[in-house]
Amino acid sequence: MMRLLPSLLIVCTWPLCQVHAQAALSVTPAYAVVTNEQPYGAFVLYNQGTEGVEITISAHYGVIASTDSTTAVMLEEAGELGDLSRHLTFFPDRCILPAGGEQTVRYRIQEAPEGAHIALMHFAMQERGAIVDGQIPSVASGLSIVYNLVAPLIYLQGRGVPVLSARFLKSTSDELYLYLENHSRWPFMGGVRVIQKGRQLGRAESAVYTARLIRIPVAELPEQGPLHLQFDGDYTGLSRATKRHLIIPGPINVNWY
Amino acid sequence: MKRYLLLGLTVFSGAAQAQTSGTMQVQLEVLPRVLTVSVSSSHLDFAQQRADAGAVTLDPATGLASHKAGGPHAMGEVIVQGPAGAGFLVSIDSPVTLQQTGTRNEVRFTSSWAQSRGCNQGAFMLIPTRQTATGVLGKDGCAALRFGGTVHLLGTAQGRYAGHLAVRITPL
Repeated sequence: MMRLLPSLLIVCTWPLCQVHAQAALSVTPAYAVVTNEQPYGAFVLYNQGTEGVEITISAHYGVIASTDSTTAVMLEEAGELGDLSRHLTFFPDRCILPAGGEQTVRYRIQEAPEGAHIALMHFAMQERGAIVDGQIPSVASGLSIVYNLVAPLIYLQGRGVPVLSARFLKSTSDELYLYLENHSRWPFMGGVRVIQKGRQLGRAESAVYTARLIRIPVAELPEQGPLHLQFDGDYTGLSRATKRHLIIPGPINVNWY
Repeated sequence: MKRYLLLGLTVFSGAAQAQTSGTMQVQLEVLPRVLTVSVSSSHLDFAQQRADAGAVTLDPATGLASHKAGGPHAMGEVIVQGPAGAGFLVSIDSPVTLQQTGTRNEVRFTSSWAQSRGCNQGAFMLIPTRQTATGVLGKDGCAALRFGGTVHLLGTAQGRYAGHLAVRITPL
């Protein structure tokens, strides 16, 4: 009996192991900005899970944008930014990633008019399930969920300066909430510094394609009066070559009350 | 002997080179925050219900179904991992219609979802905004998301209804 114990344990715990098998997808980089100097690149998909997964890749015109209260993925609109999906070729558009598997998805951008263009790359994970025909006593309803990891892909044809406006929304004891709007066809990607009387109160990095709600951590709340917003070009993951194409906008004022 | 001599010379010349060239270039590329999404369940199953059951809810906060069902119910669940404190955005297509194959019969589905900040605690909090919300990874660099919802069954024709729900997860 004691000899059989290890085998029995394996048999008993096998269904539990099956339940915990899962696919785990990561996409690198999390976003990509390419220019007309080098209009191509690649995303690398990696399944670090214990189960295979089918990935379907698609490009959609859209943007990550905010309203006064929330930030969301908006599809079929991106303000003055162009539709990159019309000028984009990528391969493959579907692949099966076994556990531990890696896949490179290469893309190239064909000629596009001057300005910035955007596409939201969707990496959709689909389970490869079997068709089950069971007995139907009454109503059986179910949904299969498709999880999409979304990575923005931005293409810059030429160079230009973003035109930003800002509005103060609210504050907590250690954060300022600002609403930034972009009125140009060039995205802003960089740091936003809050300055009062020549002193920097806080800084946050953000990408403003059309409109963005940003939270700026501050050590202390500002005094009543005007605030100056200064911008810089430091954005995590942005290459030096790409930074040359994004002109930093001049400072703007915000009323603080 | 010759082989050892050659190896010794190679090591020596390498060391000499390292000593004579006093400068060294160090390149560091800081990549943007990358998220890993682990799929625990990609099925949202109401199991078998009575045709006049009314509003049947799978509550993502508790993991329970509002009505007794024939067979096991299931909810969608993913684990999002990345650097501690990293922000992410979740968007869900809603409402969704579940169709019966070969007919025009349909059932309306409204999604809801809950988030656990960190993966070491079991408590899920219902997210009040149904379609889109931002989240932050816990101190363990992890967050669990659970997806449920409601179907309305009133005089619904017998059969199997199915549909797709798209969930988008974006690093912020």
